[in-house]
Amino acid sequence: MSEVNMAVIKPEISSQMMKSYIWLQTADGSIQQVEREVAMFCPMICHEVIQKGMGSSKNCAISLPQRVNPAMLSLIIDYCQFHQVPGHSNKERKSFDEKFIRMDTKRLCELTSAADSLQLKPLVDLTSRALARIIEGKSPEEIREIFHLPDDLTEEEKLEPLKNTTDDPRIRLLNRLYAKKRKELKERQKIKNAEVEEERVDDRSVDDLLSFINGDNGDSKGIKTSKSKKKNRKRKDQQKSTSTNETIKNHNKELNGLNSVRCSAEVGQKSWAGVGATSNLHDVEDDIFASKNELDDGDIDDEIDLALKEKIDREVEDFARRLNSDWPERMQEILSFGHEREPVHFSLNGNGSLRRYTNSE
Amino acid sequence: MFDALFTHFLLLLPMANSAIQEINVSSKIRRSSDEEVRIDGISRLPDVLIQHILSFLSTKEAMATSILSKRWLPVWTSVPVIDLQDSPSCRTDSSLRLRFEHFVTRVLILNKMACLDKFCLKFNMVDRPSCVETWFWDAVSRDVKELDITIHGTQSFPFLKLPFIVFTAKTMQVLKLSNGVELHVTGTVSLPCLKVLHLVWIKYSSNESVSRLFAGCHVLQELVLRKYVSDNTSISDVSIQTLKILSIRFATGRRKHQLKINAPILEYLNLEDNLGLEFDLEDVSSLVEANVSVTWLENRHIPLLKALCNAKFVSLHWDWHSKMTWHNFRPHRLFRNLVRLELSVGYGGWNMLSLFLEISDNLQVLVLTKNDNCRGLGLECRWKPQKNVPECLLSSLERVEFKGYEEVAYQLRMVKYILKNARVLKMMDICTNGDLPLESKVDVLKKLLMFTRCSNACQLRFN
Repeated sequence: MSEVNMAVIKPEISSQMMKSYIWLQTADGSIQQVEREVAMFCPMICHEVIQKGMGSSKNCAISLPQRVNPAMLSLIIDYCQFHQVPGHSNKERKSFDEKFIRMDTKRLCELTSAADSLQLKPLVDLTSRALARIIEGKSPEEIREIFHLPDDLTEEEKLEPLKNTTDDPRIRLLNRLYAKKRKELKERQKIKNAEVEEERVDDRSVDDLLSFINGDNGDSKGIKTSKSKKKNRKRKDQQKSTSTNETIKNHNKELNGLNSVRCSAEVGQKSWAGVGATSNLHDVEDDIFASKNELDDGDIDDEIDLALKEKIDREVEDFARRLNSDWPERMQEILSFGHEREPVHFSLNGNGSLRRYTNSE
Repeated sequence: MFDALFTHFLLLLPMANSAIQEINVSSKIRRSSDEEVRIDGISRLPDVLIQHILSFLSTKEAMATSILSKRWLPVWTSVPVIDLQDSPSCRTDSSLRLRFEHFVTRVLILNKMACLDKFCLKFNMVDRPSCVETWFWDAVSRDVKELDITIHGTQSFPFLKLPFIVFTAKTMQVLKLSNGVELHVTGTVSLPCLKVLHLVWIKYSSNESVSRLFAGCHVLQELVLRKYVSDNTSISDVSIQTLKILSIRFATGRRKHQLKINAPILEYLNLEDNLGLEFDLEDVSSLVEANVSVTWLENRHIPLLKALCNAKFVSLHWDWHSKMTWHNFRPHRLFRNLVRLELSVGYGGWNMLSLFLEISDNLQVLVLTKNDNCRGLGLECRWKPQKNVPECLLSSLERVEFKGYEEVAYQLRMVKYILKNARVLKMMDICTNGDLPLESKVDVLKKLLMFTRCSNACQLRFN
């Protein structure tokens, strides 16, 4: 087929020393002629020439995609001109590439776009890598500055901190800053929802009590941290760096225990190592992430769903009834264990909240 | 940059079109307008291209782009590459390790792509293998093309056994395993697309694990093995019909180990052996390039040298040698195709040079190096040239390089001999050691220039 094209082209290029040219037209209307070998390096042009027979003369010039403007076209032609020569060694090609992509980022973006529309994969890879190198290691502000990106995310959207292992100091710093901002926001919310906050505080102290009781009784519920513990609960466990008070830790452990009892019942049948692990992952996804906002470093209390709260409430009631009679004596025993737990905290709130709780029922 | 900006801006104006029919890009049209139009270039790229760009970054960096602007928020979840690495402090801190495990799971869940191109993980010890196995299940079910796992474990920590699903991955083309992995293959392996396999310092549960793995790779082209002393194998049987590139490095010490190679279309061999390695090279007849580095050159290497006879480029490097019995080696197998020979000699063994010169009739380039490992040793040897000048010196040798020239008598003899007899020599390149003081360098150069040269076109380059 190319021979047919050659035969057609020959009479027209008799003045051009037997070199065949291909005619290209950019979106703005300007027409250029390019040496055949060079142009055919681009798969898209190659396709046009061979499949449709275009490009042999000025009249049937190949119209290039809109993303290819004349400036980019000349760059691409330079690139093709070098690389289509088979004689160059790999070293030479590499050094040419390195010099070639030394341009400002805007042109780099345009070049990527143009090369992509011409399906010139090596050049797309080259420019993409260069852009990746530019993005690498820079802070978001710097990147926005370089690429003139609009800063259009709302404060809330930005405040979903990137939850990574905190080995990247940059991200850690960002997280701390965002955590501070978030706390401020939460403070404002707290003022609005004062009652809800208090209830939460109550829950916590009650559950602390629960853990005390459970730990002391050699827990009748038999809630020990099981292996199929849900990852998210443990994650929140780890991330709760705010109060490393052992009481809180125990509280979480118990929560985990409770959760795992509930969840293992559901998930227990499915084995991690079994077939269809992807479906497991999706289940996990449903359970762990009620919404995408779960990336928050939010309070654990926020994410306890209602059903679980009710269960905890019921259990607390049971214990309350059982222990109500000999409460003062039990309290003395617990205090005398002498752990790092702060007994004062318990006696104050424990009694008070317990009473309050039973009253609210 | 400003000019480009303006030119670009111009092209957007409709009235400019007629004015720039045959625009020549190099001519810059300046406008006096001071408007700096801040055009967001990168966000105009289609999503696919941005994902392509982000695929060259580590996943953490890609995630960091999600807070750049609204448009960038979801982009990182569609990048088909997951490249994660934990921090060095994870080695000692188990809570950090756990955190990393959670993090990887979350990334896998959030990543939307149904097909992954690359899944690359570098992390410290595995606390919960079940969690890690889940990752592999997910990657394989997403048709991952490249799997690259490195676990910086310690010997005391149990090595991770990959779930068998990894060995039946239909789309996997590249598999690289490093360090804290144990290769435990029990069933029939089926890796129909695997072209590249790297097994670096991993443990094996048995010799059969490896052979079963190789048996399941029907299009394997590149194999890189790095073996160490206590990895539970005593035989390395590389019988792969499709193999083109083989690179093996043994650090097995004195332990007896057998290397068997049967690769009929092998083109490139890179071998670093150790003491106690036995060679059984059945078929490497299409070898083009071979780089062999041995610690102690002795009789057990004769089969190896025999096998290299078809190669075009050979590089041989040894530290020590012991007397070799050559009677069954010479010269019925000639190095007919050898074009470039590089010898890096440690403590003696320069007789090999005569041997090689004798049997390589078409040698064009000869590079002789004094092995750095044995610097200062073997300062003298009784090398004497053969009576019959080798064929290659007469007809084909064009270029000789001497590296690490130390102004020792036998080196002088060699240079003299070559210069005297090489008829078509074009370049003799001599590089001295850095230690030589300048005056002695000048002396050496004078001496060298005095030697008679058989070839008129010969140039002497001294460094």
